Amino acid sequence: MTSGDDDQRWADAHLEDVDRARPLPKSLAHQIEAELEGSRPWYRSGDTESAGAKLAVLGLVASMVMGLGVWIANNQQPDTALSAGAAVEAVDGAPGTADDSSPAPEPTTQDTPTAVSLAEACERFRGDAYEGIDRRALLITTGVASFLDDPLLAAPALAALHGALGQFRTDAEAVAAPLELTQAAARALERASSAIANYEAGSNPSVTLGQVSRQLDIVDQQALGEGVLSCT
Amino acid sequence: MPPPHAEAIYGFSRARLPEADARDVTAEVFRRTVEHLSQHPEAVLGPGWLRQVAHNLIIDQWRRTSYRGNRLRLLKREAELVIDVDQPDQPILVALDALSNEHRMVLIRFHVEGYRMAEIAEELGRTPRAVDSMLRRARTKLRKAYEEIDG
Repeated sequence: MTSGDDDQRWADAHLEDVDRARPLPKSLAHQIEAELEGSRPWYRSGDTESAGAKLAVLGLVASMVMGLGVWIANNQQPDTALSAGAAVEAVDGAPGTADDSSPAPEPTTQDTPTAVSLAEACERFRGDAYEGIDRRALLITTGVASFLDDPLLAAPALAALHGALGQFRTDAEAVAAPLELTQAAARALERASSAIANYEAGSNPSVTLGQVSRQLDIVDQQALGEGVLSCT
Repeated sequence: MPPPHAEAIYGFSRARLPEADARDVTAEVFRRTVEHLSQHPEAVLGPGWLRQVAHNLIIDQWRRTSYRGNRLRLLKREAELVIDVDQPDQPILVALDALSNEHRMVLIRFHVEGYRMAEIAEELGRTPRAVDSMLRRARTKLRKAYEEIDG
């Protein structure tokens, strides 16, 4: 018997039921329940009489979430939400040094696609918007993770992440970035909205931060896709 | 009360991905469920549909590479630091987490899903001989990691 054969039998034995059903971590169960709240059961239940009403509620909720994301993105006010730059400063500084009177938001350029050449737009998108958001998102997310024990810091950091994502999406749209990218940015924005709502509702934001991180990952991947790279 | 099939989807994902990614995939499956139903109200979605969505997300994760990989790993690690841990994982899951995505993938494909060597080779664009070699290395690493964890 070779060691390879032995390893194979060992692997067979130890991996036999590795993908069995597992109890959900509590936070994940709550997250899924929140996701499904208002939607009808997706399995064949025979309960069709209330499905229409529940779907109507779902549609309304979805519209509200989308609307909230757009509204917040378009209404970030210096005196009501930290800018991305302010949050970065909060991350860089010691906890407790961030406050709402900190640096003013970074200026935001809202050029339309016709206001700049494609080359300029691509350069700005990569240089300012994309790389900027990339760096800010890292710092902000890291900062949020560090500040979870201090709600006075976690909430504005989440808001800053949301603002940064909103700016990212705006920039992506301004340079006519691929639809997939703007959609991914919009989705990340929704996640950030959701994280804020969860935080304000008193639920643990840690898992939603994981989701935001994953959405940033998706945005990242798609930004690296052929659409953006074709700017070169 | 978790929704039906949630534990199965989580278990399916957890066998194939690290903890944080498995949570994300599970949550994403149900987010997509809601999204799909909002677009197709008449749809009847069963466990097969949920599993297929999870499977596709896992494949995406396995194949994902990025020059920003280090940054993304850092992001995830930071997020993981604050995720609550309800119960310790089985040593075999911790050992699987220590492997590369590619090694984990070939082990799961071969030992759990019953793929043949030639099928895995085709999926990876390698020769069956190369996959056999990779599988052997993956088994050895898994066992070593397991024994270190399990004492």
